[in-house]
Amino acid sequence: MSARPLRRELLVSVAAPVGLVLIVLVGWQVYVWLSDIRPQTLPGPIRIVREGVESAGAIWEHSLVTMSEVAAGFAISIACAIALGLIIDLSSALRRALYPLIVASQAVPIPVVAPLMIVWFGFGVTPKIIVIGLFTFVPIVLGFAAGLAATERSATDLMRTFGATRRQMYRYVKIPAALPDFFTGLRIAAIYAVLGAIFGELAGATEGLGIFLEQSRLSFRTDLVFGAIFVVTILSYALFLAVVLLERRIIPWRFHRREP
Amino acid sequence: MLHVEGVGKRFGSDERAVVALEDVSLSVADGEFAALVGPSGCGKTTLLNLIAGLEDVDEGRIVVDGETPSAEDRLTRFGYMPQQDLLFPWRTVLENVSLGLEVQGVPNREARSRAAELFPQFGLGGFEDRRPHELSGGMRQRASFLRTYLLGRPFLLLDEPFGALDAITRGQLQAWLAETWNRIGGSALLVTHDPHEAVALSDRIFVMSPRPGRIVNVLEVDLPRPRTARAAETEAAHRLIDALRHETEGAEASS
Repeated sequence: MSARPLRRELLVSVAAPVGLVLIVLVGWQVYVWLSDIRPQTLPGPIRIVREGVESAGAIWEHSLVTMSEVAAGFAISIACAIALGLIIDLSSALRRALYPLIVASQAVPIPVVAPLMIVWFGFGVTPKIIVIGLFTFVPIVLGFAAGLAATERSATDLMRTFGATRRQMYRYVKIPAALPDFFTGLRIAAIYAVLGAIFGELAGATEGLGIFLEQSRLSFRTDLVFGAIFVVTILSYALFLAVVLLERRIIPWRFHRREP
Repeated sequence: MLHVEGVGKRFGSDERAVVALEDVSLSVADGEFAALVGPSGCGKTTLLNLIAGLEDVDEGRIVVDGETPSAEDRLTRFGYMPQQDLLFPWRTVLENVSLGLEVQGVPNREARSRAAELFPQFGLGGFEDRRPHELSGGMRQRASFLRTYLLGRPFLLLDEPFGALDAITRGQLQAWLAETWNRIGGSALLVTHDPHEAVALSDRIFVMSPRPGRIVNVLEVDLPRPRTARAAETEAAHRLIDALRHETEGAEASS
């Protein structure tokens, strides 16, 4: 395939969503102008941008708090998920014991539990980290464990004939082979990490985008609510993209075409 | 010296068990290249896995150089080459080839220089730092063979090493292996369903029947050594190949 259709494809894949968003924004703005709806009920995009820029300093401050919570929570979640994935793979007894608990943890209504976390752990960063963990660690564990379990028998057989220890088996074959599935889980988790921080903050905090959202809502600044939602979306998407780029760096072979 | 004595293997439990191998006996002398030929599903790969120690026998025993090692101990007695090349995409070709040595505790640098020395001989010169997907199928099999050979184990177990290749590449690799074998020597047991491959490479051929797998015939290959790429083109070789084809087809028909 030559470069030209490839570039066209790229153009289409960027232009299509951007175009769609533009159409929605224009329609929205036109509706707001024509209907004379109150900005407390539905502000137009132009007002949202104007007021958002006006409050950019405050939004940035709150974003920094939220981002640091996300960084800590996501990192700890990934570390726990890797450890748990390995434990699950090493012991079938522990797998049977832990698997239902892991799946059940995803069914916990987190917004309801989050206030309890505040009662247990106070208003510090700990409850936010736990809520982010609850939102994100399940897809990572399940992805990683599935990848480890799916390692080809023939590959582990070959390693056995080399005289590989269990540790070597994981280091040389099982963990690298599990990375693609691990990253699939990690990408899903990245989408939910910022959301987890927001829920953690809503349950009890003094700073953060969740607090900014709540304060704006309570003071009928719907324009700023939308502005904050926009920032949350951007942050989530940025984290997702960071994971995708990391994946391309760490496991470039996933994207190789295997020739016959 | 390898003796397989009255080996049997079942898969599954009790009534629904499948008998894969029944009373299989064979011997391969030191320096001998033997082949195990039979229709697919006759258990020849199972037998190779039992010898390699990847699985344990249900009956009989496997004697290596006068000892009767456990399956666990057999794992590191043989140079085992699997059917798929199993070159890992996260390692370069050189890192793949030296993996066996690294696992055995040879320092990385030494393992890699020992592997790199043999790259030209194995037709892999210049591809050290490539990734496996950049190699042709034939090159990947040669890299896989080199990885096994580097372990320095004098007895090789080859599980249909060329089975996944196209006919032309397979022919080339058979010729290449025949010539390489003249140089490196040692003992080998080759699993194959290709009579031509068996005759071209081996001194002795064990013919297996379909499930339950048994040895139904042993053919001596009386072709001169060292073998050339053309060894299997002579009249004598053709007669053997025909006989072998007849054998395996007969075995298939009687099942």
